[in-house]
Amino acid sequence: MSEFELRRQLQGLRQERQPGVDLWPGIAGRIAGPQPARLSARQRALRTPWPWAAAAGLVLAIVGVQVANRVHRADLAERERAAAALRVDQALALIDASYLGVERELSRAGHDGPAAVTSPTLMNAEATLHGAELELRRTLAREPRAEYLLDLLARARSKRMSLELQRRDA
Amino acid sequence: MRTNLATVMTEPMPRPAEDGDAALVRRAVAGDSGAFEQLYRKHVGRVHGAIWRLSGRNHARAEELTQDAFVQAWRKLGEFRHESAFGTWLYRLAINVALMALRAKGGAALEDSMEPYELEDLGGHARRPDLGMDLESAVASLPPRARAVLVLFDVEGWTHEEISAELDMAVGSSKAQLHRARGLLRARLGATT
Repeated sequence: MSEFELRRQLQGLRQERQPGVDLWPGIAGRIAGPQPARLSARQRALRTPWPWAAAAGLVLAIVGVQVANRVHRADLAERERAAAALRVDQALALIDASYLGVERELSRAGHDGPAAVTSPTLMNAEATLHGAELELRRTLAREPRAEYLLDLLARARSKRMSLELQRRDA
Repeated sequence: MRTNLATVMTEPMPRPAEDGDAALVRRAVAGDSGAFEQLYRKHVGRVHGAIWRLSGRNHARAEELTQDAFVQAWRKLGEFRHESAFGTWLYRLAINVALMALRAKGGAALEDSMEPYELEDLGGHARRPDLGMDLESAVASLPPRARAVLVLFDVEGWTHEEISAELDMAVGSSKAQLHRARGLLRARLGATT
């Protein structure tokens, strides 16, 4: 039997059916007495939908305010993020500039001076600091509002330069 | 498409004297039980038919629920706003009464999930799926919740949204129950497709 045929036959079941016995005497016995369903004007007023409409309106208003607040907060957060990104960029430029002289000196020494002493310990420490520095830069790029990381980054950079100088001087 | 079909099918069958219901309802609201008896005589076939199918062809239960539905209707007549046909209002109220009672019966008669179901009150023919059943027996043999969804959707023409609201289930659950019910129905009918 196809789906269509099954559904057609099911629709065909929708037929009226009389009870096997007359149910009216039993119903009449149960509804004897005054009509309890008749409501007073006050009861009708209480059952009208306006209180529900008012409640629904209030709920909608509250939800609307919450949504507006959320949008406003999201907008503020975006502005804060943009401002923080600008500050981070400026701070990173300052950090980079402050070590520019040291790096030039190290670079010149590498070309003109004696060959650098390659201590594995110092090399490893430098690599670790360099990795940490890169990671801090990536994190700040993702979340510029984490400005407290700038201090860590500056310290890592400073330490790495110190190690480099120490290795050169050894 | 479904909405239109549902709208058509959830309306009671056309009655030439539908307008006469309004006057009878007003008299009944005023306490005229004779007017209410006329409404009962006019609509009992439609109401009882739906309840009988929902109750799995359980005659005694269906008659009890039909009586309950009309008693409830009498009590709630004052709430009828004449915004829809009286037959539609009565039919929805009766279905609600039936579903509530079936749900309450045995704690959770309508709360079956995917459990197998004992065939209830069916003849030997119905208990022999290998022989195939007639359609009404097969519908009656379905688990209560699956049967309710199938009867309301495929027989009475309700939408899944209406069924989910009435049975307090998600629309997806209604669709799943319908799929399950049709599958069980095919198996019990011995269908090969």
